[in-house]
Amino acid sequence: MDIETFRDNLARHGAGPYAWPEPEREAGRALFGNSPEAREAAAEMEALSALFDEIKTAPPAPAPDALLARVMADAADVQAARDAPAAPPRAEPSRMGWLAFLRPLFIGAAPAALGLWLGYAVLGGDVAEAMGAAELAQNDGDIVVLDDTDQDELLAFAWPAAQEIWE
Amino acid sequence: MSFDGTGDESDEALLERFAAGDRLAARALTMRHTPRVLALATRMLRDGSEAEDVAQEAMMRLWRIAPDWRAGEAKLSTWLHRIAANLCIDRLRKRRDGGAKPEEAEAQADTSPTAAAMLIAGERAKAVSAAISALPERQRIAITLRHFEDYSNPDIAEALGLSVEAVESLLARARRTLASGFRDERRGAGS
Repeated sequence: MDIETFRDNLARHGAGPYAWPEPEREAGRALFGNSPEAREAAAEMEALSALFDEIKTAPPAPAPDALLARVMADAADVQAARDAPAAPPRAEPSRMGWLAFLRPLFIGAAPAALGLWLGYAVLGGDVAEAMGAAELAQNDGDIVVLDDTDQDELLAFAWPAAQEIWE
Repeated sequence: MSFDGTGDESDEALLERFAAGDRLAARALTMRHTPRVLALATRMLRDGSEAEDVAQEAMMRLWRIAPDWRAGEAKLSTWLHRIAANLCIDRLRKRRDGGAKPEEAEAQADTSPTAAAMLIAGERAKAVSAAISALPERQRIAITLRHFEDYSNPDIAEALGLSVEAVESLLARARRTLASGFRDERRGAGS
């Protein structure tokens, strides 16, 4: 094994030969025993590992006050947002929102539809329904209802002839 | 011993108190963890301003996850440092995507070469920190994650999107460079 291969193994596997791959281990031991340069290289790698540990465990420099203040302000914001009462649920937007421009038309049409319905139901509708089952005949100016249903119900719809009214 | 009674309290207990609305717990966690997270980000990014942004963002994620933290599943400091390391790696990728070559980023950062070293007490450690800071970007990240953040080689490979063999190669090159610089320094001191 030459010194460069030895250094490469040191860098890959560390200074302890037990961590080296088996095929490299014996050759590495042999070079370590025979070469001051190899021993120096191993000592350097050991020292480097110790420095890594020193850096890792050294207390870090204090963080800038401005950064600490920002971090604590973030914490306060998160706490405040969490403590805030839940906002009332927002109404879901209508899926027919694109028809909003037709709303005035609907507003105008509603009374008209109501009027039509009333006209049909109160005046024309019930009369026609009541009379629909009947057969109307006119006899000397009287409207006579000819039906086999109850005559009391139908009496209201037996209108007098115009001549009787004037008399 | 701290006067707010939080000095000996575990991270998990403090986080639980923070989630319950205790602001002193937030202060204790900030003082305890922000400096180390900042040191990690500074070492990885070599840009003080960006490192502060990363430290703030990592701590913000801690505040947000507090109510859902599951004690015993992960060590808080490990979780926090992983978040910070990932944020740094994202920023380094964006630098590259933005057209900055790693060498250019390093040349800019070299205007303040002692930034990382200033974080560490001890002259030899300072010298090695400065040497780490001068490494090419990927070597620097690999060394930082392996030796200061306890990442395994496969973890580093996953974080950097490299093969494990590539990570081993990065680490070996970095260690050789550092060892060589250490040797030169000792010779210089001895002469």
